[in-house]
Amino acid sequence: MEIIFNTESLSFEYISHDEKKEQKTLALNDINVSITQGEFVSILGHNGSGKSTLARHLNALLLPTAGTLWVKGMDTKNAQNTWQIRQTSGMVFQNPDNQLVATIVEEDVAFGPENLGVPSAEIRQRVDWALSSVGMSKYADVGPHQLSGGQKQRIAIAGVLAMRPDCIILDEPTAMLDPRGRKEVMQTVLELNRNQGITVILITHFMEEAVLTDRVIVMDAGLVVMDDTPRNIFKEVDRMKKLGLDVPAVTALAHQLRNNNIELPDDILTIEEFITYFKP
Amino acid sequence: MILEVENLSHVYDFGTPFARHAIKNINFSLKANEFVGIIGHTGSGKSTLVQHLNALIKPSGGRILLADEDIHADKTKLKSVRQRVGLVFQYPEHQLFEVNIYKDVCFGPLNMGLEPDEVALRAKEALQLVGLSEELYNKSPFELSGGQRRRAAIAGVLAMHPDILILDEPTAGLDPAGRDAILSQIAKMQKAVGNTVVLVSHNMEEISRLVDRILVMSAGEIFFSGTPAEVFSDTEKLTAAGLAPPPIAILMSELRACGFNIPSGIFTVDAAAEVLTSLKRSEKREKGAEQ
Repeated sequence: MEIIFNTESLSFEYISHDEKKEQKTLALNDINVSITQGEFVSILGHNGSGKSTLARHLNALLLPTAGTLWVKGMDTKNAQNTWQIRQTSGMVFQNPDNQLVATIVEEDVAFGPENLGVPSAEIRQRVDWALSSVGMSKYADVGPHQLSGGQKQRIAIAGVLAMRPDCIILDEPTAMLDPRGRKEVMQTVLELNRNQGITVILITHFMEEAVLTDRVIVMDAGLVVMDDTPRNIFKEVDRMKKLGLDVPAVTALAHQLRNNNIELPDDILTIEEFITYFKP
Repeated sequence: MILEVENLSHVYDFGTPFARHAIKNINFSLKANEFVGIIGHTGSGKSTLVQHLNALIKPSGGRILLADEDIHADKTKLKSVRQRVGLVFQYPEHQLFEVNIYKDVCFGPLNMGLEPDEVALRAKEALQLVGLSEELYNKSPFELSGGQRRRAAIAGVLAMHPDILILDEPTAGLDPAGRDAILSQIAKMQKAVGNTVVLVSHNMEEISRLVDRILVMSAGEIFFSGTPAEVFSDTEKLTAAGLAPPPIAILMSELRACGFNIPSGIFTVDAAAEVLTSLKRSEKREKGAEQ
């Protein structure tokens, strides 16, 4: 598989100004990761750990202050690549209301390709495909204000899809949604990854969502501190707690029972697994 | 009863083809010192309901009694209603506007016409209650983390000394550590001040640990209510209300279906660990006795 993102000693430092002094903060500190086309990666970390800063580097919204990031072999620091890099990956943010620009759903989805100068027949095709990919074809001609939060996020995802990206980066897309909306969005993203092979990078605070991904990257103070499968990450219950993160409730329960000398595997992630092993 | 809600209903876009009931037939009351949670899916009417409680929205039907007085009876008293019922909106940090957080917290009490000494006292006390230390007083909101900003915004409402404090999704968008910090501050503050607190959330776990009573809303009505143990063990009703029951509650009900003898009302990791441990130990003992 082709590598889509690749970093070498990527660092990002920003300077905050005060009346008296300048303060330097190293938001990303010597990051070395590579992500393959088709992977579904989640990034965990408490607020201020550098997750969003890293994500914003992936489509050249931010540029490294040291080290290099290549997107499909293109160096993000080279301004000539910026346009093509932004088409490689699209971003979806936390607040659905901040991302929808048009008054009708299908016009909103068409906004991206229109801006790219795509011929109108193809725009039509892309919009229909994008809306059906997120299961929102029925709502093509309604106003975004008539949609629920989960539906709005799916439209935001469709808007990104219409640009035909290789990768979608989602920065806490479900933070403002209720459980039903959260499920809808996760289902949509999973299907896009499985069926269309789109690389997905998901920043989240919901451990139950990270469980569904192929690979978890844990960040702390600008460093990548863990990078493994969800199963191997979440069995480190104490370490995760120390990093200010949770583990799925079922995993935490299994961990406590193990501490009470009850025999259970240390890497239980789901209710079904728990029941299988708990039954005598 | 400090607050009573009687047959409350609200219709948005009344008299137009878009008219729809946001809430209807709402009846409940709040006692002094009570800690109440309101849960429900998006669009279930939670925010509409709480905005009625401090008279930001006028009911289409029914009434709200604050200390036995209809809050809309006398228009000139609305200001005092809003001081007695403090509402912290969703994403309250968007409402910080002063140059530093200390000044921001002072704004409410100053507007109430309090003496400068009293304002300073209240501001410091409120900032302390939400766990913001003195070094931060002169910081601009832009220099703070999301969780700190939110706590500053909550302090702004606390400084008005409301009898009833309503928090609409106070932890939305925060990381687990920020979530725990805010909630434990709220719980501590409720114990210290002894006011009535209403917490609106769709995070089941966080509500379950704190509140005395939960109202579950669905489609604009109170669908059911009870203690956290009662509400969270009813996984079927919660699912019908469009909510995700706590994973532990689901696990418990599935284990029960497998024939395990598990009491109802278990929905936290700690409680479940205790029950399952004693279950396994007695299983072992029985086995030992057989041999």
